[in-house]
Amino acid sequence: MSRRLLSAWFGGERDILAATRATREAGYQILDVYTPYAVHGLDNAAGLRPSRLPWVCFALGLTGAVAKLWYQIWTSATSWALNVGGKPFKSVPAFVPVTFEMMVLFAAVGTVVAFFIVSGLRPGRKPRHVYDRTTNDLFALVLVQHDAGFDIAAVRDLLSRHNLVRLEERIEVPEVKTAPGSFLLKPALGWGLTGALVIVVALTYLLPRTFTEPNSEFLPGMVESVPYDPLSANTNFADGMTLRTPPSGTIARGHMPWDSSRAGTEASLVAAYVSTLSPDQLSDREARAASVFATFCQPCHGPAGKGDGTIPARGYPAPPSLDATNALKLTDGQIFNILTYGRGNMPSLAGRIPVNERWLAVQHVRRIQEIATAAATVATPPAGGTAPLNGKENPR
Amino acid sequence: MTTHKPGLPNFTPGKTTMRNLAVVAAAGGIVTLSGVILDPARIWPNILLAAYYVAGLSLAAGVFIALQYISNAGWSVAFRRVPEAIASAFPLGAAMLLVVLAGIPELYEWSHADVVATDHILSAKAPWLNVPFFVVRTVVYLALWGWLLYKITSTSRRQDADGDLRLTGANKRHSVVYIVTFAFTFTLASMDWIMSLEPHWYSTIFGIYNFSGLFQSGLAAIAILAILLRRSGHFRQVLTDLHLLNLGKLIFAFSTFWMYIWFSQYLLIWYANIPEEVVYMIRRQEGSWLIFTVVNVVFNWLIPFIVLLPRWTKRNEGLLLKICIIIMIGRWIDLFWMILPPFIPSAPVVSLWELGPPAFAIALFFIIVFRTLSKHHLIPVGDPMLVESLPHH
Amino acid sequence: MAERYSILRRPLIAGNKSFDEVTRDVCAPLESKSTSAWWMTFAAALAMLSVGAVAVGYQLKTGIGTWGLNNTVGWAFDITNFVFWIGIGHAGTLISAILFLFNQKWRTSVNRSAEAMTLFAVMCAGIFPIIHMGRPWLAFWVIPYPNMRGPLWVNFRSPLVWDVFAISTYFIVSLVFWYVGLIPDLATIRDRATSKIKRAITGFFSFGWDGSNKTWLRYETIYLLLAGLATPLVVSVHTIVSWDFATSVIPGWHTTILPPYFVAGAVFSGFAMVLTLMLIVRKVLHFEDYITLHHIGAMSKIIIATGGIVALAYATEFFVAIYSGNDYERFTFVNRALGPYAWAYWIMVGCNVGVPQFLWSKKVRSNVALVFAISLLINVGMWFERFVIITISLTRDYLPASWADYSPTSVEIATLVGSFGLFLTLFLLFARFLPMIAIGEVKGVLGYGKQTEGGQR
Repeated sequence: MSRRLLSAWFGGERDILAATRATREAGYQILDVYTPYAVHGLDNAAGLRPSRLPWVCFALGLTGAVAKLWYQIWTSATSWALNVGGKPFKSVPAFVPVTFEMMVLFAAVGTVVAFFIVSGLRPGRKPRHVYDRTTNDLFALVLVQHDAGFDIAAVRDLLSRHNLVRLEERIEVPEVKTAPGSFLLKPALGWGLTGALVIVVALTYLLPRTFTEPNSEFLPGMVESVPYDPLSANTNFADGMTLRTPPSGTIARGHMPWDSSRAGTEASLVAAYVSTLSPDQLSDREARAASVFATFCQPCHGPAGKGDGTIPARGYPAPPSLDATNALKLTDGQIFNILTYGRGNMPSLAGRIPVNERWLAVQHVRRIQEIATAAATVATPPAGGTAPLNGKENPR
Repeated sequence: MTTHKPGLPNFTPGKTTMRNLAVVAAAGGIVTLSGVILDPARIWPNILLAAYYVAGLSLAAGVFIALQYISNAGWSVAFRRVPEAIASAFPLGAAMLLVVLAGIPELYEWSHADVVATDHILSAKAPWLNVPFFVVRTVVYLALWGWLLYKITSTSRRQDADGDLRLTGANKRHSVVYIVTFAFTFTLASMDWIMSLEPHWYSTIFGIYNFSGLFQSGLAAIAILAILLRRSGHFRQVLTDLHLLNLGKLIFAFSTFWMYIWFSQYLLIWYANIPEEVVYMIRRQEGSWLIFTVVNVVFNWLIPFIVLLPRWTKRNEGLLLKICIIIMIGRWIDLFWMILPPFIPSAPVVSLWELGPPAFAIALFFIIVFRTLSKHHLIPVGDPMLVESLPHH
Repeated sequence: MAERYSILRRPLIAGNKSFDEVTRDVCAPLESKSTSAWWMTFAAALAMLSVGAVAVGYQLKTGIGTWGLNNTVGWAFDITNFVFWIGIGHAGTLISAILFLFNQKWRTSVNRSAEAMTLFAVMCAGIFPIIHMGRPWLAFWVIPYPNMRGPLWVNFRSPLVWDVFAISTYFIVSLVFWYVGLIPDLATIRDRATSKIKRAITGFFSFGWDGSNKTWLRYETIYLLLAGLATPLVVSVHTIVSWDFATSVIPGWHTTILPPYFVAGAVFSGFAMVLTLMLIVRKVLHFEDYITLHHIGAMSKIIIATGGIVALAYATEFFVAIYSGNDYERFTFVNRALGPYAWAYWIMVGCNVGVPQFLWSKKVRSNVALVFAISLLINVGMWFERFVIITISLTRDYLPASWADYSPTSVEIATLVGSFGLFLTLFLLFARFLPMIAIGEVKGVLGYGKQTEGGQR
């Protein structure tokens, strides 16, 4: 549908204000007024209501503030509560600044976006001008000739009382409306983008890649360390390796050699074991030894090593007593060996008791034997009474 | 020039109003006097509060007038007689502050030689904080301010007779001198009178903090009087909604400024958590003092901020009046919050002793302001800027 | 409905301009060929920028060991420059927002350039904390996004994080504010353009502005809203910058007056920079009718006022340090005035407290060359203010065993030179391609102070 429009141009602020007011009061329909700058009072003259954008601004500001305050409390007190400088997790005074900033950011940017939307301003939009000079020095009043009663002569008469510069009648043919973003539908753009996509996909498949090599690092920072890595090549040594062979006989910290055939005498093994213990553990060793015995040995051997544990009581062949003469003759290493490999009906316990605890079990067996021997020779109790077994003191 | 001059309104205060004010002032005065005799420890801080309060209103009015002159503002000229009347009430505040000098031993810990002798910090401060120097400083501040305020108000009134343009220039110079003098001396004065109540504590923002509350309450007082004059019909042709809008904007802005300064001081002390500083805030957060801290912020910022945020509320006479009264109460709370905690550390108490001195001071303040208003033209008819301030026709 | 003006008012724009003359005057620099003077200054600016780029490149490759920092003085030249540039930016927002709220019409002649200056200054400021990170390609770690490290969030209790939010918000809002103001003028240029390309480019960026009254009404509404938001924003930005220091416990840094003092100082230095630039622009682009002695006087008065607040803050700090009875506080301030860096302190006091006092004289305010010299000195003084606060406080703190001195290396100085190069390059490009004066706003104040209508003969 086309409309008949009447555009009238004026040269000054007072004229446009007066003419606008006069035409509105005469009952003509004003399409819009175009001015080179914001003329105060023109909204009033043209009968426009105040903008509602302040409400948008208020709502967005409030949203930004509330959301950011919640976010700060959630990240600092819930998601990962970190104690920084002893400040409380919910340090509300410290959250005020960022809350404020987000309030301003949401309100300001959101209001401007809302302004663009309601005013229909967007990049590349065609101005619905009536005359180029309205952005320079002329003020244009555009009226709609909406009915037959529109009397051009009367209007001309009315307007020319306000120093009318020029008057023009034109028929507005509605443009074919192009939706915002319709430039995306242009064929050239579509083909171009499709072509680019095809090329990218093709290159991804066609370019040779080496999967064995790491990708190239962009500004690697501390990914590469300044000192040599243990396994990296090193030209400073004859063998070209960074890692050095340790002196012979070196034992790794915490490592417990147990294979007697390879690691020297029993005494040294026991010494090695003892050296791994902290002072606390040394004093606590007896209790620990009893606990290991109670857990792994007692079910068969019984609390005093008599072979009267709960398992033989149910019919499993009873083991020989631990204070039998044969058992007394065994060295610490041999008992350890039995624990490790098993003997007769006794299975290997190597998988269940760690090396140092097997030594503890050995120790407890010795203690049981001591008690039993002492009970047998009541008249001559052993010196030191309940002296604990210590491989260093009693290398057998 | 086609200036439309409204009929010159003249103001005569209502007899009943003046009588009621006189009754309140007398009652407050009697309470204050009996307090001095019966409970000096409680009454002196409140006399200081009342004195500082009314003196602050006059000083703020002076700042308002001076800023208008310096910035060549035209909009506010029509009601300038109101801040001028408030500024002319300065002798009341000054006299009360001089009376406070008699209460120094009750108020200031540093005035006791035996306390200072055993206190490292206080003896380090003794060259500044000692009674003779304190008295001299107080007198100098009050004399300077009183003289400059008198110069500004009297010059403005002289212009009524002949509209001499040179008087505008003269007042601009007075304004500049007043603002510069006031900025430096008020910083010191606020630290002397208020900050040294807790002499171990210090905060560099204290002067600005005191100024923010002072100016906010001064604006509120100006708005209250202007609105009352409009209601009584004297300003009907003079005070437009645009004036109210501008005053409302200023009150809104300075309310927020007060909050900004208050929060800056609080945050920095809270964050750094230095024992000698943070004790000040802890004292004001313990027990029912916390309520005062919260109400302080609510009255001085939250309510004015929320209510005055939309445009229409600033132009609404009744609403603006209510907000200004809230701010005036808020100013009292703010000063109470600053002054009283060292005297009643356990909990804030509001009794007859707390109400007497402010009632006396405020009632007398209004009596003086109304008297001053009735003595001169209610609008500065000789001011060359008046044309920009009066409503258009 | 036209305003009425007191007989004391004078027109803001000299020469009794018509609307068309305003358009032509402001667009003249954009529609003529670049002068050789422009090319020469542009080449100089680019050279400075390259010096800075080389220095930053070298620093990135080698590490920030190339700076003169040490264990004791961990913040010095870089943070001084950062605070200096952020401060410069504040005048732009003050002119565009605060003076707008206070209805100061003279702002229309300078607000466009001052806002542009704000943007460029914030860009310059942003460089310094980012390169100080040492690994600036990881700068995005300061953004609290859900990540694979936990998620490990940023520490919202840290003033440095507040800074990130404050400065990025400030930049975005200033950019939006500036651009919204630019749209009507771009439309004016579009409608004057003779070349098709220029018409297409300005047509794209002017968003189809046509001067519709309905749009102007909304435009005025959002301009007021943006001004109302930008005002507390600009105060918050320098407040938060001051909190970088004041939340610590270092004497000289931890002082409660720092927020308002920094804000006043920022406006002070910003106005000095606006004056420096505007006096050049006025001369080179022949804008004497738009930036009149009245404008220069008004800006000078703001410099006196903010300089006065700065002086009051200096005095208050010094007084309270002595008054406090705290030995550390006292020492810090005595050390500033009499210690090994006393020269920096006295440059600061001389340039910021002494020099502006000349502006009290109307004769000095009307002498463009003198005002220009004063504005330059204030820029120097304000740079030294930040140096004094940041560096001197750090060199001497609680423990005498850890006292150390600081002097900048050539890399740091070159980086500062580079930031000036960036600033000038951007400003020169702006002066070449965009209207330096808000055409629409100036047209609106042509009638100011006149008994007749604006834009009419």
